[in-house]
Amino acid sequence: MICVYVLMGLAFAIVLGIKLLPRDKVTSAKARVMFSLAYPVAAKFEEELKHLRALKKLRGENESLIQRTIGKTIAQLHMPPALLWCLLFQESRLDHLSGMEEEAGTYGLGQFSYFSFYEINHQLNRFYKAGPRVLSVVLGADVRPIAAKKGDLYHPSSYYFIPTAVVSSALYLNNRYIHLRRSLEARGIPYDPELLWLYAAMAYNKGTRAVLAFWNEVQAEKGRQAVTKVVSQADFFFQTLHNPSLYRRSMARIWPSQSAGLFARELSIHMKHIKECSVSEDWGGGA
Amino acid sequence: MTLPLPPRPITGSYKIIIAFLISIAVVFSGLIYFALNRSPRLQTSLQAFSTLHEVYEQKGAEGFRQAKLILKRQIANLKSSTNPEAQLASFNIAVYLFPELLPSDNFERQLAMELWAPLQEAIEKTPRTHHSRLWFEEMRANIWNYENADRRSPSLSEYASQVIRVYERLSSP
Repeated sequence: MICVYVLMGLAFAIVLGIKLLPRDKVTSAKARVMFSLAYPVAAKFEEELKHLRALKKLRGENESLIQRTIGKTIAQLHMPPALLWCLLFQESRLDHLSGMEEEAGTYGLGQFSYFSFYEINHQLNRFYKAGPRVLSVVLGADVRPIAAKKGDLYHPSSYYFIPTAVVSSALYLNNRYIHLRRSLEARGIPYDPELLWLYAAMAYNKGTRAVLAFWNEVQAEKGRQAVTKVVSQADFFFQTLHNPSLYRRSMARIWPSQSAGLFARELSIHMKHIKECSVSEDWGGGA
Repeated sequence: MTLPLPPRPITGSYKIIIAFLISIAVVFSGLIYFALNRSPRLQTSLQAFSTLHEVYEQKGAEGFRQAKLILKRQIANLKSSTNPEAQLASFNIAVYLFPELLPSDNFERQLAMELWAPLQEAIEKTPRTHHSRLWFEEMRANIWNYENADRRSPSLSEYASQVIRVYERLSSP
């Protein structure tokens, strides 16, 4: 009987001890939040916004609607609002009618293509089971099929309707996040969940393959530990943005030399802008 | 009037230097020639890959399966090549056709096994059916969303494009 009490006491002490142990490095270093609550962070983007407003290329009511829809969307998807806003700003300068006249093949706020629409219309719950529910909560109904419909710009199934564009783009970004998370978790590689959103933005712009090629290249050059660093420590990732040749070598795993160089430059610039726009200053954001 | 000097005879040491320079030139020319020309193994594999979309029409479902199996063995062999072009080609073909050949620490392996390998297997089992067409549409969208790096001028790598061509033929009514 005494042994039972001793064992119970020991078990209790162990459980208490585990709870009192310091948290792992990635978590305890993350008392501060990477993404800014106020955006854009960099003054140059705020200047650009003023310019767009002055030229009437961005109307107040549209800007407000984008913000309100972002608020409703991120409440469902738990993604940083600064990142979503900055991604839409980089893709289209918040022109929700972008691509409508030119038939450029990419449309609206998030610059959706035929295959982006396919994913939202036919695969929405393939990667994220709650996808259709998010659509219904934000828009009031599951409005698929969504397309770049010019006929009625305020119809919820038109991608030119601002709330539809915001939530569809967010769901597409969320799917990229899930793909990347799966790739890391399949390898048992720890990552910073906030930092992974930046990689998701990279995948949104240049394809998931570009990100995976980047990780493969880092691994080939510097080993698995280096990959762990670039996905779990923001400083290491931010340093790579100043190493365009690393991105070029990554892209060269997929593309011929000339295209690899072009895509690498574009990606490096795009990610610098995303960081400057959305990451808080004490994490190195802003200009 | 001074007579012009006779040409100096080539001494032994000069002969050695000239012979050395000629041999260096030959070696470099050979290296350049072989570097510019693909190895026969790579040529064979690329030829098999680039004509895979015609095999089903010529030899039917079983013929296609055999051809794909042969290509898989070729790609598996090419992976260990020291030729960078062969390594690149074998890797990219493996991503889209044989992800099981990718090393377990490769980051693309997981998604390739999820996003198109099962759809390709389904299409091969029941080619040229309504369902195979639906699976092809899904596979094509997955590949485009995975790889396209330019939203304003969309494009795919030659490897991705060829795989799409192969399964478009297999799924066309």
